[in-house]
Amino acid sequence: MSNTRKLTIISILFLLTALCAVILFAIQSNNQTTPTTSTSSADSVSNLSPDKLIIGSPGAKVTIVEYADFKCPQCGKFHQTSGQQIRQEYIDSGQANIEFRAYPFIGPDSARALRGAYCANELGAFTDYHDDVFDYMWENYYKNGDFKVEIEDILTEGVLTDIASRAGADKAKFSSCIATEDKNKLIDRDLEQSTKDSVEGTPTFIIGDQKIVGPLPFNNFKTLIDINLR
Amino acid sequence: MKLSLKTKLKIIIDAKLYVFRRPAYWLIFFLSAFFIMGFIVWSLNLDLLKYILFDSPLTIWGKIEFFLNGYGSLLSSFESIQAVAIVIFSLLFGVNVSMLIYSARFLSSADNKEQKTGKKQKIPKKSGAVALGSAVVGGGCIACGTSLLAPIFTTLGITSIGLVRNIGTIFLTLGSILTLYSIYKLSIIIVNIKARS
Repeated sequence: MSNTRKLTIISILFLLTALCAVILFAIQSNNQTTPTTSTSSADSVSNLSPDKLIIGSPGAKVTIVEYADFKCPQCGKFHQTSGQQIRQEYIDSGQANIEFRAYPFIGPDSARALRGAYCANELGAFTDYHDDVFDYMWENYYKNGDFKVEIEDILTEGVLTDIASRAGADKAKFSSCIATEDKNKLIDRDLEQSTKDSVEGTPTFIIGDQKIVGPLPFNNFKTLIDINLR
Repeated sequence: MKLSLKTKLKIIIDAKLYVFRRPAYWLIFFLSAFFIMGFIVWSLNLDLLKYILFDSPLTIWGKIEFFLNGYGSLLSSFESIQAVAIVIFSLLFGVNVSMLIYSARFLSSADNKEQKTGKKQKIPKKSGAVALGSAVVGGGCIACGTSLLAPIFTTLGITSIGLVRNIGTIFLTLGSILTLYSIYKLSIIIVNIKARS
């Protein structure tokens, strides 16, 4: 056997070993996290109710649970890229819906913006509010690489009220709602659920009983949604 | 004896010329770089990858396509600087593995000669392993607040997302520097082997 052939065999064996290590690691980590994830997603599909933030048809066959923070740049990036494609292909056609869950952890205004989401939902303007808040952050800051605003208090009550008003919510009712802390219990509920789902950052998605961390390309989402539509 | 940067670069280039003269080492380089890049981009979604590869009803091609699509997250998930850092690390890792295999191949015969002269050379395994660990941790900082370091940060009470993002790039850079060090050490071994043969 020539040296080159030996070398090729050795290198293939090395790479196969590396691949096995990756797979073993995947199996090991799967054993640690899967049970909570699958329990939660079952709840997500069966318990759709008015106090949940739903984008799309509530009766859609597939529910995409999204844990997000309006201040998170990666969530904004998802909204501008894969999120748009998912909306066009699956949400608008009624095949899937998105259940948006609050995961405030970035800036002092994260919880306020998410409280605003529940207020807008109550006033029938959640979807547009959701899109407009993400667009506001993206167009004014993150698109230009201005990430220092993450920890600044920029989504003030005034800014959020303007956005909600443009989204179709009654300005006075929204303003009054966001000023109180009534909706915080819903955010607490989402956070409790996130613990069960082993969420450690945003955006995190749950489709069926699988978890996606980070804004993966649209085709990865598409594959998973298609599997759940079968 | 302290070597100048120019001399060090010359040693690295000479060693690479020896190694990459053979096509098999190009193959090792591309495969290693490809797989390590895949490992980094999938590091936070290994459960999902495991499900798709082993439990999903997809065809073989569908599974391969899903895996390859993950490489697109270099554009969709990582900030450009982090994506560049991952690509640089993966390429350096590929070079390192090629040189490691090349030098390991000649080491046993070289060892015999060195043992006679009392100067035994060792392959720098530690720097390579630490470099890989650093890069995986760095690559893990894809999503906001998400990294393989998140539990440690939580324990320490560190919540600044800006710090998490920077740490991702810092670890990837550290990984690349350690890999460069490993490549330099391997280059010395290879040049020595060639000088004696």
